[in-house]
Amino acid sequence: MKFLIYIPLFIVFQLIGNWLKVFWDLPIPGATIGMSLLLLLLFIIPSNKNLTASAQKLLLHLPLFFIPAGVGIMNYTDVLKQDSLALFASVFGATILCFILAALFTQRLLKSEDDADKICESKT
Amino acid sequence: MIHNLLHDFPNLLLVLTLVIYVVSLYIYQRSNKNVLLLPVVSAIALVISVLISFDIDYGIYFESVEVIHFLLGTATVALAVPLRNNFHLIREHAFPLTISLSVMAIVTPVLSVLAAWILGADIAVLLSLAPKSISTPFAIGVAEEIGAYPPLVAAIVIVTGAVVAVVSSSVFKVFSINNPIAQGFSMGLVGHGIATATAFEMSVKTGAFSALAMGLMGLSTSTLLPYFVAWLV
Repeated sequence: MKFLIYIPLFIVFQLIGNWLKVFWDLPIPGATIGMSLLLLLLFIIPSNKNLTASAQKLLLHLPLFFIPAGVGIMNYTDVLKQDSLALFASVFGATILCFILAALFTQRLLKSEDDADKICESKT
Repeated sequence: MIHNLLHDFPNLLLVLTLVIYVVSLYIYQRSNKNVLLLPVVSAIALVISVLISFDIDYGIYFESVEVIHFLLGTATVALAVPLRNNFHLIREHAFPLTISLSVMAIVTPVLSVLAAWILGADIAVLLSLAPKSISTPFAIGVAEEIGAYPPLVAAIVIVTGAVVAVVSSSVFKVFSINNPIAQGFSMGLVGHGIATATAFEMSVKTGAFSALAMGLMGLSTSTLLPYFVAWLV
């Protein structure tokens, strides 16, 4: 049960993020600010098993945390009907296109890095 | 009778949500992880059907389960931990991965909005499509900032992730993407957490790069998109 001690740490960073957002009037989500600060802290303090375990336990149940926001879709049936074609084109068409582009582009970049390494090696 | 009970004790809606979540998890596991039965999809559908059959307003429902919504922010913060743990992966391929991330962080929202814009979608719908490739907790946060519809964003993001998860192995075959780093990174960039779960089923390496891409994409998009929208509108 040791992993439980880190949940309050996450909440503290969440609250700091929300507070900084209001304080500096930032348009960035408070949780993103909290996460960035925690990320910085994690580069300073060494990683430990309980911290990783507690993040994993929390993230395992991410689907549960989406339910309150997701259920709100029941009030948007008009929008869904009205722009159904546009939504479909974007969510299916654009997504698949972007995914193909991302995969091809990343593989190409990795390959050219590999080739460059080989050229360097053959010269030395 | 149940009708009156739910109206008199809205806290029961919190209990109901937790029960429905557990049932959805069980159904998903029993179905051999069928992507059409993703726990989040079936749980939301079940909650909506209960609310409609007992004539309960979404506002009342949201108030009773607000604590669950609060934990969404907590979980977002916790995403820093896997991002930190996977960070060493980027050092080995810093140049290609940084370029790929920067380009796709712009191309993905632009193409997603463009496709719907051509077909004449409403401005709030266009804004709801912009954060569709980032993890739901980030996307909902961004939606609240840029004036999109948060529930619509949640639905769009979930379906987007599921689309990537479903088409990934065919795309890799057709376009001969055989480098596990490229496979994982592209899945995380476009399909966030839902595709990352599928990437982990392919291999640990694919999954780790997908988780890395998902974290970086969520961090960069949720930081930059609100500024971009403010500058544009």
